[in-house]
Amino acid sequence: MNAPAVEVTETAHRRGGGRLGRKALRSVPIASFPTLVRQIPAYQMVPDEAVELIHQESLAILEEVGCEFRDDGAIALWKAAGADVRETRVRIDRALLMELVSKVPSEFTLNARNPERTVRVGGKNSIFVPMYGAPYVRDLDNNRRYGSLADLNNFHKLAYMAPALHSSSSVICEPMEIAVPKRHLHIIHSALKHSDKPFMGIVTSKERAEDTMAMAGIVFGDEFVRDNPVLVAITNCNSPLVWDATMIDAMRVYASHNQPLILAPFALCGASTSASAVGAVAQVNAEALAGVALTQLIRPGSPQIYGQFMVTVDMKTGAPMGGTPEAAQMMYLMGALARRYKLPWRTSGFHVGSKLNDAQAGYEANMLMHAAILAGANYIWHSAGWLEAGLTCGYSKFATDCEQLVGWYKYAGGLPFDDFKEAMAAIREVGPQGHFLGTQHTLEHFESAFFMPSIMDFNSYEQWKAEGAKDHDTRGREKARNMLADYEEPKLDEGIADGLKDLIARREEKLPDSVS
Amino acid sequence: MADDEIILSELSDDELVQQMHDDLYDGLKEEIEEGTQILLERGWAPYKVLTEALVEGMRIVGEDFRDGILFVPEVLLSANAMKAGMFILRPLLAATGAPKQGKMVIGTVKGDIHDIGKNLVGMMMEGAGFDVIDLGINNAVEKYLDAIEQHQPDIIGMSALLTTTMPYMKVVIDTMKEKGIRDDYVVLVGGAPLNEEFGKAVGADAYCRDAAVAVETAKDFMKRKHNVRA
Ligand code: B12
Repeated sequence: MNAPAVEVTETAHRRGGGRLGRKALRSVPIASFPTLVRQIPAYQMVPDEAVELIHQESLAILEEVGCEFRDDGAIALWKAAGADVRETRVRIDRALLMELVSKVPSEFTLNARNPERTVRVGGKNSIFVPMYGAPYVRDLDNNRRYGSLADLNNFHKLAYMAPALHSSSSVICEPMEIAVPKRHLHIIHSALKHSDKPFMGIVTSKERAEDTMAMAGIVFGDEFVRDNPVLVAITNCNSPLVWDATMIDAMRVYASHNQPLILAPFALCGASTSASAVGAVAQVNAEALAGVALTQLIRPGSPQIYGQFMVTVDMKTGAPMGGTPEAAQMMYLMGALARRYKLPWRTSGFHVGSKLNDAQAGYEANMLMHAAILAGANYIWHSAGWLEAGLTCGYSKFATDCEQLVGWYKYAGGLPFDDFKEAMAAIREVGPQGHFLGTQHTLEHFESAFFMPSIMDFNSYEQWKAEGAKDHDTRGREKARNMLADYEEPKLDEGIADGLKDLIARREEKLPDSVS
Repeated sequence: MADDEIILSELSDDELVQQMHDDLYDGLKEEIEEGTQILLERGWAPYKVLTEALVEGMRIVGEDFRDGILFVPEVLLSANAMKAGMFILRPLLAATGAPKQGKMVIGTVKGDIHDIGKNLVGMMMEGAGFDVIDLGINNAVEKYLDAIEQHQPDIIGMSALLTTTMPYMKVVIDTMKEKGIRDDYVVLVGGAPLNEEFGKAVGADAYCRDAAVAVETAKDFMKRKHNVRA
């Protein structure tokens, strides 16, 4: 937090301070927290032998059943590496697999266009990333409708303003009014324009991935993005055990530029895995390791993010659930495996099935974020906005999540002992019966000692009622609205801004207006 | 659950049909095959076996699925039992010129590999007595056209889960229009990011939010088709 605002010092004949001064002090926006360096131990839910057992079973799956790689280039790479290849089925022996996996760095730097927002991923370093892929939004007036570019801009603005978010993601919601072949250009542009944090790449086709890299090149320099991570992209395994051509195309574009991919199967456990939490982990681990290994055939030593997005299936409908205890348990297992392989790993934090930012959403989100933190995840995705199993991004949910992340950031940051002595002095000062609200120690520390959320309401009943008896969902929307009103765009070099616009214009001329 | 001691052939027609409803509910494939044979041997018309024993039984299953009493794996078991009965009846139905239950070609559109929902719809449709031809994932318009020509279905089903692949449904429907065959078929669309409005905009006959609605809608269209012909 930097020196307070100019208005205080303007009037030279006054000492300053007072109401204005305090207001300025309190309203200085904290632009961004640095990488979260976890200072609490990772919790391992099962004994080492259990982790080892799952590991062995995963290796056995890849040796005996193998994994499909439905892409000629990938098949050629596997053949050259000496794997047992029959058509698109690749059986990988454990020595080859583990050798490839061991090439992945255990930590890497993810560069932001503003160096102050650059983060580390891996080891004790964790980052929070907002959601991805919502076709719908639950908007500021609480209506559910298809997302638009204006919504996407708004979410990128909110992501920029939220101190505990370390990335702008990319397609937080879909700008549905823009023609599909051109949409990716505007998604990436929005992320780069409205925020200066790291972002995510497009993977739905090779061409779109290449456009993403071209845009990154304009912002960071073509030279720079050939070797230095500036974005993260998600490639999904089609569980069970299939890596398809679309995903492998994207993998090639990004991995060859040393840009990290997330190799973290999104499994609907019970539908795309067996109906066993442990069995599902063994399968997903095999799929993730196979994906990680392929990236090392494309570019050895490239940074990658291993992991999982495992949800259980609602056996009443087949739909994905959120916030179940098994989802949390599976996170702990994957975390233990990630540490065994010394790989940075991804999970999801505040992802829920709820339609609204309501009690269901709160319980679900908390169950999973607690596990993500204690399991020691490095790339904690879907940490803002997510509703309805990813079909909707909610403004209220987004604002709530951002605020709660500040709390989790603190939680994972560990317990500070630096003022312990002063605290002990304060108890001597007050003695029995008194109170601490006026002590020097309290005055010095109250602002940072305890998490102070603003959307949560702790007022008296009467006060709450006088303020309109608003429920949490309403307060969340108000918070989002207020944040957007205060938004100021981060600086972007004019040459870069023009360069991006030129590229978009050039590409738009070439690209068709509809899918065919 | 069915009592082990029961001998199906000793039951009266009414009792047997009731028992078959229970057996469908419990997903007992062999019992359904046996029950179907017995009714046929007793001189029941294949169409009567289909509607009164099987379709009616699956109607009950569908209802309890909708109400959250039965779960997906159980319903799949029921659908499988139903399919086994259908397998016996199909040639007989064709031979007797009974009204067709309906045939559906279903597939996920080009660029999209999501198939969990589509598979569920396919299985529920089979469970309701429809013939289902599943084209799998990532289907270009030619695949649909080939399947239409080859299988002469009543219904075309398209699934898409990506906002980037949803518009492809319109490509398929527009091509059908160009070829002048659009109105010969009922087109149903589905997938979580779709909605009613989108279904209308691309020119589908209906959007179905889930497998149960898909079955109801398909049955409805078949009924109308039969009425038109009658
Ligand atoms: C499981 C899943 C996957 C699995 C798919 C596994 C499989 N074999 O299908 C995997 C991990 C492979 C996957 C991959 C991707 N996915 Co995905 N996926 C999902 C998820 C979580 C659930 C879908 C599902 O199976 N639901 C359960 C079934 C039972 O429901 P359903 O499909 O809706 O089907 C029901 C109805 O819709 C209807 N229905 C469906 N089809 C039909 C057809 C007819 C004819 C009828 C009548 C009815 C009907 O009946 C069904 C049964 O009740 C959704 C999110 C969501 N909540 O839907 C994202 C989601 C659809 N995926 C998404 C994305 C982005 C992707 C990827 C691009 C991610 C990536 N970067 O890798 C890739 C795309 C790959 C590709 N080329 O297609 C986005 C899409 C949104 C968008 N912006 O376009 C979503 C919304 C998630 C998100 N927020 O990111 N995905």
